[in-house]
Amino acid sequence: MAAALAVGLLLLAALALVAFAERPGRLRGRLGRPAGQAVGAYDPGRELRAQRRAERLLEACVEREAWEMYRELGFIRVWGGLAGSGRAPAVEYAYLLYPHKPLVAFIPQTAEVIGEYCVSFPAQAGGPLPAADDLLAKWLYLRADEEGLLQRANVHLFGTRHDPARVEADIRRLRAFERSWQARLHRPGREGSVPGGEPTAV
Amino acid sequence: MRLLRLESGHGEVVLAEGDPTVAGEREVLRREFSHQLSQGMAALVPIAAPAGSRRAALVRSFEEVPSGAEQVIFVPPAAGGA
Repeated sequence: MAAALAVGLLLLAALALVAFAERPGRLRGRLGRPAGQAVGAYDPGRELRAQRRAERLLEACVEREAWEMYRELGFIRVWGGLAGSGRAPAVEYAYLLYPHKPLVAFIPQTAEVIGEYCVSFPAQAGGPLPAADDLLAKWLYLRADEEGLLQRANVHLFGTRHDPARVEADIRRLRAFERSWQARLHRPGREGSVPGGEPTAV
Repeated sequence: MRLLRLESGHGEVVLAEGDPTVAGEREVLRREFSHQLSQGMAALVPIAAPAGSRRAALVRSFEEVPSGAEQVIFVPPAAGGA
């Protein structure tokens, strides 16, 4: 009886030692990368941090309305600047900018989609740009050199890369957003207003 | 002024930072700017316009950067995608 009890106690002690020895490893796993681990090892938070960083830059660069649009809808509408130039529709047109997907050109008055413009930014060693950076790059190019961007883009028929039903739904969501944004702008103590002034680089 | 580069899997990286009105710092900025262009990157400057609107300028030399610009963003050259 005493021998069985002693064996049982020894077994319990051994199990406790094993559990204690494993604990630091588990703790390191929860808290982050242990010292000395290679920098290139998988870091599950890396992409999230990159996306957060990219979103802060996007917010700093685009209009308040565009930022709120991105947050609420996941895409940004940018007005086309070539209307009436002979190189674009004579009527007002706009683009929907999606991360890592082709631009969609459309006519807001009729919701008619003109086409898909596929542009990409050659992948570097670390893979594609974070989603918000991809969006920012498209926004910057469109605002700075719309014609140049369109010349480089591959033009596809609507529905080649985008799901038409999804885009049509997005245009409806955009209209609802625009109504809500206008209401916010005209509300007393409006939150969407941004001070005006002379053009300044940011 | 800050020179930023959009990096895959990372977000932006600060390449150089300085006051372009200070000769030494301007030279550092100018040198880094030229280096990025030589790597094929496009230099884009976000610009705040009246009434909260924003636009951007594509610049092809450091001298073209609008005065007062706080950041120049280097973006991989746009290409046609699949």
